[in-house]
Amino acid sequence: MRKIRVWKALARGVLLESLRRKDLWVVAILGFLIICAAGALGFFGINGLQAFVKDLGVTVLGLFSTIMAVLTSCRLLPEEIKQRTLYPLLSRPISRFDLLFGKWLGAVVVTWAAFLLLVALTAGALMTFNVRFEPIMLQYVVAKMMGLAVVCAVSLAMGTFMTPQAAATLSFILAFGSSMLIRGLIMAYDASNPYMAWIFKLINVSLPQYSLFDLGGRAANIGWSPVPPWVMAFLFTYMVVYCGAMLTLSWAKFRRQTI
Amino acid sequence: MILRPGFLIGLLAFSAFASVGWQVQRVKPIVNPTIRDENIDVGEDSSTVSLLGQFRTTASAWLWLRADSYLHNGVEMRPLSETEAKKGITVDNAKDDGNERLHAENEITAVPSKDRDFRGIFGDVERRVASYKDMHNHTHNDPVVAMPLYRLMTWLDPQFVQGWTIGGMILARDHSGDGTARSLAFLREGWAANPKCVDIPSQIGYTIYSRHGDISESIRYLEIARGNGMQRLNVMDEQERDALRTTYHFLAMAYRDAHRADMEQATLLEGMKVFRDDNLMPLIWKRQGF
Repeated sequence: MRKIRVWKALARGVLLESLRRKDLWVVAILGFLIICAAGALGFFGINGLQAFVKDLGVTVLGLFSTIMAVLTSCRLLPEEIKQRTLYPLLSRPISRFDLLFGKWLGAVVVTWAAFLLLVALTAGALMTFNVRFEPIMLQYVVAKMMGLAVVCAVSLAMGTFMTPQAAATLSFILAFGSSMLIRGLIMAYDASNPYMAWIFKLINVSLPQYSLFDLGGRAANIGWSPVPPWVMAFLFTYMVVYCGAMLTLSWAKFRRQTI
Repeated sequence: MILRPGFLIGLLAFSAFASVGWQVQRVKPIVNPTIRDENIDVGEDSSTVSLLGQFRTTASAWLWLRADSYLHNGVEMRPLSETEAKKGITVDNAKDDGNERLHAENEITAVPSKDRDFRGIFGDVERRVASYKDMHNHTHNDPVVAMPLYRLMTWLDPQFVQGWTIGGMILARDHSGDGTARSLAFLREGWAANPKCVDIPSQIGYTIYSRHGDISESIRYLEIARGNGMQRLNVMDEQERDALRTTYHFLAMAYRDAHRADMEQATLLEGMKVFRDDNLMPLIWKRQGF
């Protein structure tokens, strides 16, 4: 119970810090851009472009929320260390793992809040164009939120190993390039020898499978059914396992770090 | 009135900027010529290019890919790589649904099918969450769905010839006189932006030939396409060469229907000289008893 209170307090700190830094203003500006883009499309007329507008909506949501997740998470620890605010935190009766977990939780809360804000704005913009919403849209939002939790965990882990700038760069490469890397592995797998094939398998399981959390293709196009519950359960399990692995990795580095 | 140096420098700088701005239209033919390599490389067949082809970032290229995605109802397709072709992986060809240009795709799904995926459960889940289905003998959504995108991409990039020709083809699917008129108007708009290209006048000529039956008008456009092609024979890309080859086919047939055997013969001779590997022109030549 005490642990939960600690994690909650740390997460609240991240949220307040984010509000203080006016990060959510960035989200508001991005949301304003969404409205402007929707207005521009409306100017050209969107008769027949409903699928395109929906596709654009999910693309923009994915892009902006990932940027938010990476930028929020990868600076959390390095900034605490740089500004020396870590000392008073660690002087309290909390473990280093608690600190990491609380920070990650805070980053997830901030990212989810930003994502839901953008979802509301995008939904509003889409509704003005009479775009129909199907049940899969709800699954898209839930799966995306799980995916963003993984992005936060990976970025936080990067932040414990390198400078915030390097962590952000690498996190962006992974967030936007991992699906391309995996496609590359699949294409190269058939032509590889057995040893390389094992290496490809190892790389594949190590890379974060962000594309699995993106139901945007199904949500934006017409007539796709919702995914079965076992898939959502798998995504949840994957999120828990991968986030757990990333937090453990961060803790392994952070617990021996001299501050 | 005393002119201060700062004011003078500002005035001079403004004049310099204004004159540069005034002259900027002159560089348009260089930076944005009316004819260029319009082909988007998503059709390249090496593994790397096939992969990176999905990441072309210009707005019209992105719209082109989106339009392709809508025609497949969101199922992402990519060209078959050379290695895959050698491995005997079959192309997910479309059903012959009357869209000749859409039918000749030579693509497979970007999300791999179970038999060519080593990822196990990850692959199974991706096939469930992505807009994926078995695309062997697939059909297309009505291309009219994507027509606004072709309008948008040609508006953004008027030199993107493929956008004009596919858009023209989509509009021409409406076989009524209205559909043909809209297709021709769209193609003529594209031709005005790309006066030296082969594809667009060739398609105008073919549309007139097949729909209006106005052979002399059709010949006029096909001859323009042929002339444009002959001027740029050595710098044409594969797509434009194909357009020129088709131009020779239709031009020969148009001359045949116009009972101008001498012109038909000359067209075929020239066409066979340019395209030595062509099968159709020698066949017409033989059938006509030249």
